[in-house]
Amino acid sequence: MRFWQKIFLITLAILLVSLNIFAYVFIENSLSTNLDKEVQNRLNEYRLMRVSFQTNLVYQKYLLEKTSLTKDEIMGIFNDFSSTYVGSTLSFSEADKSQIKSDLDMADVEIHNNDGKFMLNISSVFQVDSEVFKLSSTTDISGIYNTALQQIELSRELILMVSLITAIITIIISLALTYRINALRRSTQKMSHGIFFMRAKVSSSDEIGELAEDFNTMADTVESKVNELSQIAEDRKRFIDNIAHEMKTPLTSIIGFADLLRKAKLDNKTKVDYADTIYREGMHLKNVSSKLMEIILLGKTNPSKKEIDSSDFLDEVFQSMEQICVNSGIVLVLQKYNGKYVFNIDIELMKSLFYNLIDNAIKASKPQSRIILSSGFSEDQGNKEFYISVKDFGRGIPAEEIPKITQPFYMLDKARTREHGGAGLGLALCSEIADLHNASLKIESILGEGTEMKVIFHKEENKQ
Amino acid sequence: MNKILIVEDDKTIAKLIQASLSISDYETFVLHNGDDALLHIMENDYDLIILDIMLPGIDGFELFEKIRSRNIPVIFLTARSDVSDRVKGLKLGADDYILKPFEPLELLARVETVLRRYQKTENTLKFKNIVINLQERTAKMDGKIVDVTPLEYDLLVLFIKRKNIALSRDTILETVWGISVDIETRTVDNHVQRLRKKFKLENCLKTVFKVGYRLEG
Repeated sequence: MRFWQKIFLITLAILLVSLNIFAYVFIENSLSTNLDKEVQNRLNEYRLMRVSFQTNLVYQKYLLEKTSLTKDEIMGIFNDFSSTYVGSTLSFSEADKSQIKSDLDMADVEIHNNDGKFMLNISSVFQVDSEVFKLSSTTDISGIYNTALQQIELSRELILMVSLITAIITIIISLALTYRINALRRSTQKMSHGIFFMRAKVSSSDEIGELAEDFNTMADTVESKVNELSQIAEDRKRFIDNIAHEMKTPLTSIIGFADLLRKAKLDNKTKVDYADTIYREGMHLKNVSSKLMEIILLGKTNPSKKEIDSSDFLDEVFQSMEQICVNSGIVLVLQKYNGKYVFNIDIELMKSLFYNLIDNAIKASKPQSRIILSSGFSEDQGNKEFYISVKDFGRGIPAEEIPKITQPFYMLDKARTREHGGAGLGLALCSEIADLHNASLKIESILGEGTEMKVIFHKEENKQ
Repeated sequence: MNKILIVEDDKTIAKLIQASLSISDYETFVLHNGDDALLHIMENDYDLIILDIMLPGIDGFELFEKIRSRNIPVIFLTARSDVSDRVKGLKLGADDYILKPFEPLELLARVETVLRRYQKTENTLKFKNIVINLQERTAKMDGKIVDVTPLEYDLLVLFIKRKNIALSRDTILETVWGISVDIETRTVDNHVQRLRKKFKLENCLKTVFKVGYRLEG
């Protein structure tokens, strides 16, 4: 059964039962009150009538100058009396002496139904001289019952009308109530069918409105989680596509040239050339796979962090990279932060991050230019954060490419990257390492003027 | 001689394709990006284009759409093994779709099939003093018709087409006899022997250790 039907039926049932009880009690009460009143009136009237009849008997006895009256005389007197009496029908009959009540004031009251007519019968037995008589008065009191019947009829009509009006109102209210619940239900169903952008309409501030709001909050969470998951799935797919592409390209060359070497009739120069190609492609494959392993392992291992003075760390990086820069005709400049700053890092991983950054800077730089390795504090939203920066004055990165360059296998210039033996994994590795240290990579670049890569160490982590 | 354009951004792969195609004496030309290729194709005639999908500039699919009016057969070459990509390539109307990594002989076979479909192959094959008329299915040596069985004829054609590259016995069986035939590799050796005698190829049709046979010259 639908909710609105339940509300409707229950309301109607309660209303009908209570109205009927009310009408019954009311009509019953008014009937018995009226009946009591009537009986009392008739009883008083009867007593008055009896007294008057008895007085009449005494008076007649006096007129006839008798000490006692005969039965016939008494009946005659009664007939005269009753013919002048207006009101109830009187009857007079002989009765047995034993029926005389001790209290002469008392009278028997009976109501009986006579062919649909309600008759009130009041009777009493009394003694006149030696004779015993029963005097009864009968009154038609159907009027009182008819009034009750009319009341029943009227209340039936009233109950019907009230029920009808109530029914209509209840249906409207409950339908309005359940319409909103149903609207919410439809939203829920759509959502369960995967339409995650579905939202419920919040049209009031009552419980249903709150439920709709809660539903929407839940939907927001679900939608963002779903999007997040599909983003992850998409990233992973792209990552795997890229791996496949990066692995298959050198493999194609290796297999192809090896096949030519063993099958084709070639001169020595060509043979050496093909062998050389196979070697270079093999080395490239080795680079890609070892970088890839690093990234994959990085996600699974816990860095072993140690406290180290940033100044000492920078000295180590500088010493390792200086000669490499010199070999490429580039000057590496170290500008350390004056104060002492101790941070908690995995030294080997962090070194490899900066080797990568400096290596990139070398590849981007023209000979005779400088690369600046510096440290300091950056002002970011009022809180000072320690950073280490690698700045070159090389080719720079187009602004629209900056967000993409930390993606695995992304190559700004494929041909150049391949020439240097890269696979587009260096910066992806750097950002993984930064993530492990709650640090972030901030890249600022102007095309043709140079690039600055800042590794910003966020504070919370260092205090832990 | 058929002219084939190779559009491939990876220089090593391009070199490999060139080396493979040169076995069958195709004339090759290499371009490394989509934009250059578009301009070049509009102004030059080719019998076939081998097209990589991931290219700098416009990608292979887009390039294919733009050069469709030129009516040049196209074979896509890609590392993407995605089925949907494959379907897309063939739906667009590409003549074939080769996945990396591929073997040089496989590439040659595919190229040949496409060229034959477009009837761009030549009617005669020549090797030294041997001339083969592909339409008549005849083989002449020094202008005289040499009597050959159909199998010997097919084998000779295969060797001349794959001149200077060794063919394994399995490859030969597959190409000449068909894949499902249950024949021992000895049969190949016998047929090769007969070809050597009939066409006096003892010095050219050489046995390559561990691989198979190679027609040199």
